[in-house]
Amino acid sequence: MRKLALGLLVAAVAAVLGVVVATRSGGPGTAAASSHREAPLISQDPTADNTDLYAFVSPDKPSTATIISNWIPGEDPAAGPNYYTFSSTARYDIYADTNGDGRPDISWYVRFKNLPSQFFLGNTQQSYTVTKVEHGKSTIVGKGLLTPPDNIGPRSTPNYASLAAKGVHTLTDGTTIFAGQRDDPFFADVGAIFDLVAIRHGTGATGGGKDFLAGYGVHSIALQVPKSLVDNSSNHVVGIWSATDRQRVTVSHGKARTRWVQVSRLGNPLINEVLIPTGKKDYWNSTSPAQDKQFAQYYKTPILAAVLQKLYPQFGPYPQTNRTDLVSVLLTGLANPKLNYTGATLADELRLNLSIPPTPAGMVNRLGVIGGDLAGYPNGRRLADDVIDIDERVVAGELLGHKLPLGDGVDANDVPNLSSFPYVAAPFSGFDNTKSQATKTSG
Amino acid sequence: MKKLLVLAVALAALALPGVAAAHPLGNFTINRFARVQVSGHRLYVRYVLDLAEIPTYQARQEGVNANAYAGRIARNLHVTIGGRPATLLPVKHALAFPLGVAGLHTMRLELILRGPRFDGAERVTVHDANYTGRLGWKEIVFGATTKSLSDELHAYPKSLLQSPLDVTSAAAQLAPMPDAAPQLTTGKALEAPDRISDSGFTTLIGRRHLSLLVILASLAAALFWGAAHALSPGHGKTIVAAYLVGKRGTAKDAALLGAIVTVTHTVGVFALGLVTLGLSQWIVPDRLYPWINLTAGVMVVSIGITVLRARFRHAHHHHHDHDHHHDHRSLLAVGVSGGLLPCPSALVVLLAAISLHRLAFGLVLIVAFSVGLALSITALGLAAVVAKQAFARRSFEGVLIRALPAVSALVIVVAGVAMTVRALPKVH
Amino acid sequence: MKGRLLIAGTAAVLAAAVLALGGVLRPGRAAAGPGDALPTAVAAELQKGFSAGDTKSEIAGLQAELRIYPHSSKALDTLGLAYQQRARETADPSYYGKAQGILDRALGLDRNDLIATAGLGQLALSRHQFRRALALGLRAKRISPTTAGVYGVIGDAELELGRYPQAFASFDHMNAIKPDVASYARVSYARELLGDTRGAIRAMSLASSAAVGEREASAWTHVQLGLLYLNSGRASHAVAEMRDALALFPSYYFALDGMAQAETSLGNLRSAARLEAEAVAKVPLPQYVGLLGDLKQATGHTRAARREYALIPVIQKLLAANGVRNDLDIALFDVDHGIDLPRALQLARKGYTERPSILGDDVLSWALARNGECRAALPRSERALRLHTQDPVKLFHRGYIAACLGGDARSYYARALALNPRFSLIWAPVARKGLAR
Repeated sequence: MRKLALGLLVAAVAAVLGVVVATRSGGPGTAAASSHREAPLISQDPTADNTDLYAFVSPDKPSTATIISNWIPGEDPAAGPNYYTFSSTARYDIYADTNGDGRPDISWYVRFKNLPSQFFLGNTQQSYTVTKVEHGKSTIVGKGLLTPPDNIGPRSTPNYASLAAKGVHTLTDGTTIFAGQRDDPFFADVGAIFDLVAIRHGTGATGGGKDFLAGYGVHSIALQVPKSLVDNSSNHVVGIWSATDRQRVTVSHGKARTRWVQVSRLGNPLINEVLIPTGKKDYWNSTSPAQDKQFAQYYKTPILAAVLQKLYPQFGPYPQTNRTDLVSVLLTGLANPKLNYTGATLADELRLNLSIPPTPAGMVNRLGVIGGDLAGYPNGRRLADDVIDIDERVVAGELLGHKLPLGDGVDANDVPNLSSFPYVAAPFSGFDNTKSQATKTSG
Repeated sequence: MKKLLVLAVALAALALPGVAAAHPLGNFTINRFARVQVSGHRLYVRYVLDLAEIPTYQARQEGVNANAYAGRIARNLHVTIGGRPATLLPVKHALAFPLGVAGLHTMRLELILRGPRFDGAERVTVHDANYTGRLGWKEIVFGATTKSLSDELHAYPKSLLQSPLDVTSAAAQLAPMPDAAPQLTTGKALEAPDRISDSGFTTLIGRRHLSLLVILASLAAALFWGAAHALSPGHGKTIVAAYLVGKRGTAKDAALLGAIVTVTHTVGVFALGLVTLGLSQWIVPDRLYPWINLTAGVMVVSIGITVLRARFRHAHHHHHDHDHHHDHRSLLAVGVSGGLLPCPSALVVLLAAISLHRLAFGLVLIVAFSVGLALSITALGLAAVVAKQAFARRSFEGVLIRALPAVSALVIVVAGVAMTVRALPKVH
Repeated sequence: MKGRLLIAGTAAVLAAAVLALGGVLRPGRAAAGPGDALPTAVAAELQKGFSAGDTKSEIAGLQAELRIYPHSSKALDTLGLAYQQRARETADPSYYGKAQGILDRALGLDRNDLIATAGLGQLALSRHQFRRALALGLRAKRISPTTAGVYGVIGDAELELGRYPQAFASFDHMNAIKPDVASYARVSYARELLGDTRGAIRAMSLASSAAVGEREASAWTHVQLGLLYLNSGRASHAVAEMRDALALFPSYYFALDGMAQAETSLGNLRSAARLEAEAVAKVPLPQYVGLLGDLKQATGHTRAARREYALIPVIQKLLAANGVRNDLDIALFDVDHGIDLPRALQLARKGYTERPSILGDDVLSWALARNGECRAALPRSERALRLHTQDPVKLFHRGYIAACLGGDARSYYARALALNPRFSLIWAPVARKGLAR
């Protein structure tokens, strides 16, 4: 009875107050109130973004070396009307270090100009100038050269192969150049993030992954350099990296002369993504290989080894500290076996030994040096080299005798590469965009 | 006392997330929901339109004619059955203006649209062309019993991993079903303020013209909202009641508790206002919350343990029951914990008062709100005391009556532990 | 190769990194066989959206990833930023709340998470909590002094707090680390404030060319370029820029409002009203609603104008209830429209203490002048122009105060009208009359 009275009392209090206890109440919202200038803070700069770098002795012209550097990730062929071009305000750089000191001995700077009709008709053709700097001397080696337009479709860009062929030019120093849109030759299973594809398919070495970059394009600058220009004729090793610079401006000096600041660089693949910590990325991108000693700690204790330990504990343990083997592969070149060692200076470069002849087409091993094919990564890098699988295995301890068949299950690009310069396949057109089928054909 | 003040400031900071956190959807969204179902041999659409505060205000400026809305919505909802366009006829509607943020109203319109006869299995497509380009939650479901992610625009998911749904076209294979025809929501449920509680209180400060009558009415309203607010979850009601039962409190204790709650709540809101306005440059309040939560939890646990220990001491030593001197410190602690638990609307009022330059009015409003809060808690405490004494008078000499204080203490400890545990993982 | 990272990472290597950063490997999940349906669905979803600048599908991919690996710092960071980007794109403020929750979670995993700290700083800026933004920016700088973005947060906050030399230094430093759309845009704004309109246009053009491929950022730079043209007497250039912005990002509310301003300046009030109404339908910002009301008034739709004006106190109520401070905007509107001038002055004073920028000086001077306190208004107005900003509104206010004190307003009025002949539908005619006198 008393209990009932208590219940009634409480009920009465609540009733008198007429309470609606809103259980679904949320906090108040932030209505838009933006009257100050909100510039974007962390925006991508795809036209300055180096995606991949390749360097190899040309298989069809062994007297030359080919350097291919790609920019602008994930170009969707069907993205019109916003087609892709090089940035007209950036400088695209390819560097060669012939004496192993981490400093450029030969630099090619490429600057693009939009043609007057740029904003109309989706015209993506650009003209460009190539400046070469050697021994502190700057020479214009190509001027008024033209890129082919993007591959938009049979109506806008009919007979694309011949259009693209017109984009191959010869520079005054004897180097051949191509700049323009290409198929992205990189292949990797991005979906592995969710799927851990390697586990799904055993260790992933048996194929069956999905090439998530299939069907997408990039913008390439390809150089075919006579060996004589870059061969030091002692150890024959040349170190290559590429970079992008943008002009620095200051608040008060509106008309000062152009000062370039490097905003992106690339030597060995995946360094910025996997090894360099977030807070150091901007800084790393602004530095040159000669300054790489300060980053050696991140190469020595790669987070990736710890990851592999968790991913494939059955094959562990994986060496996680003092990885001098990684330092030598990525920062000095391999001395033992004698492959592409350039001395004690630590510098992140793609080192190519020009004296090693190219492997004939049918005998190329996608695993490069660890697959017994000395003409592949990490001796330079060919389009067909499977750097994901190679990196996983090397980090797992391949060079320390800890050999594991790791990989992402994607072993080759979705379309065949060309057999001659510029080697990178033509881009998919926006018209017959094949992204949806691309997944079926790879693996 | 100085320590308590520090604690007061800290605890009050708890209220901030409530202010900063976004409403599930913005104040200018137009949200749409359509449920397409076959009942017997007929196709029906149950359509819900939920306008947030600003579109509602604009709609009411122009005058809301539910029939016109129904006709327009039916025309812009394109349904095909087996590839043939189907005509939808509005047959019933319900219209309500639930209270939203800042005393403004929102609008909820529910429609039953009747489609054509439906025989055999057919493919049904729906395309909602109403309010294209307007922000909002857009949802289409098929079937009478299919779950709606937003509970038919009653409860928008707050998961951080859920973007506002944006479905304006959908298709499904449907067949005649024995389901009943769809119905409208009726009565209170339709009017339920599903957006925000306490919004009435926060509007008081914004009144444009202040006459004596308005001020008095506002004070009464603030008192009322405070009392109502105390009954929403939190605010240590359980703890207060359990404490008074456990310590065999008197009516005087209950009143004292009410006074302490009023004072601490008022002080707490002001202190937090100061922190928010003055110290945000040096202190990032977000980083304090977990610690404050933890402190509050630990404080409640210690209250519980104190009561429990006192209980056991009594049980072991002597048995004099009612003339026991209360531990005033623990009474104070209970009051403080009741007064300082988060009360975002009071803070909103304070901030609004500052920004509107109505500091004095704001202060008075908050005091009134706090008094209301305290009245509620006191009433609850009194109820507990009365109930307790009623139990005691009936001579249940036995297990129950002796166990009661210990159980109350345990309740306090458990509540405190729960608070602590919830706070712990966020402290770093 | 950093762009790929955002788009989805690079293959198994990164997959592994995600796991490691997440710190918790779920054996159950790792052991899952091919029958596990979710990841495949997720992968398909991800691939569908593998395109630069597609924030929506990027968000879907990250949400899916976090459902599987809730402790992935990298995914939390990226999602927190992607939500903010989505808020910019859609103007849907619910994304701000989500961004806050996600970034708080990331900080919970690692209190020195750079991206989360800077991201929360950016969020504070969006919410006009400038002091808080500054604190977060400085904290982010302690975590990584070599990351350009942290100087953006710090500089933006300093700017709104009226600390101009410090803000400009922050922007210079940011651009020295990394010239990109973010740092160019800030340098451009600083030059604009300093009255260097040509330099501002040059920097914003660089920003625009560095934003190619990022639709919203790109559209935003075109809008800013348009506004620079608009307030330097080139309204037709402004129209072209706004058109480019709308082509890149259809029905972008910044561009709709910008286009409406440009059309207003060209005297095409009807089409301006149509565009502004479209912008208001998307985002009822008080300044958009105010301009729409003025346009209705100027085209003779008095009742419609009253309706728009009536909406402003409603919005203000909502903002106050949400703890958002925009006293300066409200004060400016009230002063311009002669609403409760003493209260507007109070609001302006209050707004100034929160945002002691040249905007604060300007609004306060204008409120003082309209309340008849021209003597007190003069030093304020001079302070508002102390950077030599070429802003027609501020110049008009300066002239009005000069006239009020018995001086000559004409040079100020002439400059204001030369910059934008219709800088305000209410006050440009006053300036013209003053000039004719």
